[in-house]
Amino acid sequence: MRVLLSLVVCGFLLVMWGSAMRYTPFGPPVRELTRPIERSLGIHQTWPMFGSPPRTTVWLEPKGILDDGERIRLEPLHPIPDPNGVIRRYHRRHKFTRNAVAEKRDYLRAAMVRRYCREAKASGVDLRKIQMDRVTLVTPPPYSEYTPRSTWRAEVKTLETWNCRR
Amino acid sequence: MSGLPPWLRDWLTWWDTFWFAPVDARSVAAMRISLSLLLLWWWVWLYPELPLLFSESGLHDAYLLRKHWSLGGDSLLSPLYPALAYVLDGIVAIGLLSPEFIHGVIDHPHLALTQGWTLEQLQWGHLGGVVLLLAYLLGFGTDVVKFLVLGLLVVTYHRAPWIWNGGDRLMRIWVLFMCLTPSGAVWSVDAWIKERLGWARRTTVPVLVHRLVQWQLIVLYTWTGIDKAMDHFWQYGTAVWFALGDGGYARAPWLTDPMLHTSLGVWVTGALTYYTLVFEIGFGPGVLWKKTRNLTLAAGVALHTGIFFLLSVGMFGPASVWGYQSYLDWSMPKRDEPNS
Repeated sequence: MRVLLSLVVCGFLLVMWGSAMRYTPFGPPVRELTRPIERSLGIHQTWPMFGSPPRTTVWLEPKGILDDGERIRLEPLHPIPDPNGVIRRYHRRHKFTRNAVAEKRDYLRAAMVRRYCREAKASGVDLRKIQMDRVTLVTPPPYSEYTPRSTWRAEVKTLETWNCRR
Repeated sequence: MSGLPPWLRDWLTWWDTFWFAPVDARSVAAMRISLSLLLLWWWVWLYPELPLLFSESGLHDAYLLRKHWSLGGDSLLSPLYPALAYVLDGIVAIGLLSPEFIHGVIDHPHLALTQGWTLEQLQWGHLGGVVLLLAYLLGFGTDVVKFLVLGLLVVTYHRAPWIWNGGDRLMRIWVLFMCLTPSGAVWSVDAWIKERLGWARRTTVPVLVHRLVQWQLIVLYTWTGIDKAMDHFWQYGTAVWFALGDGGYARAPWLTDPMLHTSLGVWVTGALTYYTLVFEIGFGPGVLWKKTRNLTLAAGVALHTGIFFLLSVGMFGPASVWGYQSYLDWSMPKRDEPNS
């Protein structure tokens, strides 16, 4: 039993080494072997928690476009919490949104669009397209005067417009 | 071991002592109970988000997962595929499973279990998870249940891969480690049943899991500490200030914002930024040196408690603090000493 457990320990230490050292020359050769285990169990060893702290508050604002070109507001997947309230629990849709705001992750936004289109269709609204805007609220720098968040500078960028499958 | 060279014998003895020295079985029982309570808390909060995140009509539909999520190419098991295919062909030939199901499992093993569930089935599945975690908490069938709990976490992870953070990952790692120890040896229904049957009771377990948890925490804090130390905002002491400025994380901005925009607020968040850096980089040496261990752990509890109340970042804090148990002294008291 000890031999078996020792092998498991060695295996885990290898996974740990390959994953944690992936950005150095020593990690990749090991990770080539251990990546499937790391990925299957979801045990990768990168821990960049706030390594680069967020300087902005970001969210996605979808807009539905009807056949006649009229734009209707759709509820964001994770609206920014009310600054006058308290976040009582961790919302996983927040994490999904944070992943989806990266320009390269258009496939996540596409998944959001498919859901919006399905929901609209189920409620009798036949959307033609969905425009996905990224809204960025810029945190003012330290030593700046206190102003309510509602007055912070917001930048809106249209990421893309998707067709709803009909 | 007598035929081995002395250096190898010494090394094997060290290895054996380091990973397998006996510790009080109550230590892993306490770890099992506290971990299952954390898991229950974590699992119950998934319930409101089942339709959005886990159902077929939610965000993670079949198209997204099949096209953009994989288990990472060839695996260590790849050389076994021909033999596996031979066995599976046999299963199909005698009609136990359909070829479509087999292909589904081989092509997308992470999807095979959870695709196509209705919302009602998901809700029942969620309730099943609660029952499983309660069984783990009570230590009922622990030697089997611990692997089922790991399976539950892994399947949930792959069903909705874009919603998890470092805290969720840490919980999976802890559950994986706990599979390597008989955590139901005491303080469990299993132990109670064994006692009723008159079977011998286990009082010690190998220190293996404690060691793995200890190393995992050292790697985690060192990694994140070095990563932060290379960032401009951590170097200039403004990282915590900006983290509290993010409206998605700040737990109560109306409470913290007026304070942040004062000289004192900038100074305090600067001090907290450097405190975090020093703690994370110093965690390894701090816990390895026995004299500073308790102080280091207390500093960690303070850090994670502060983060918990100021920022909504999920399970990372509670999961990290759970690991601190592994540093507590659970070595067995010396026995058979004559009473003086």
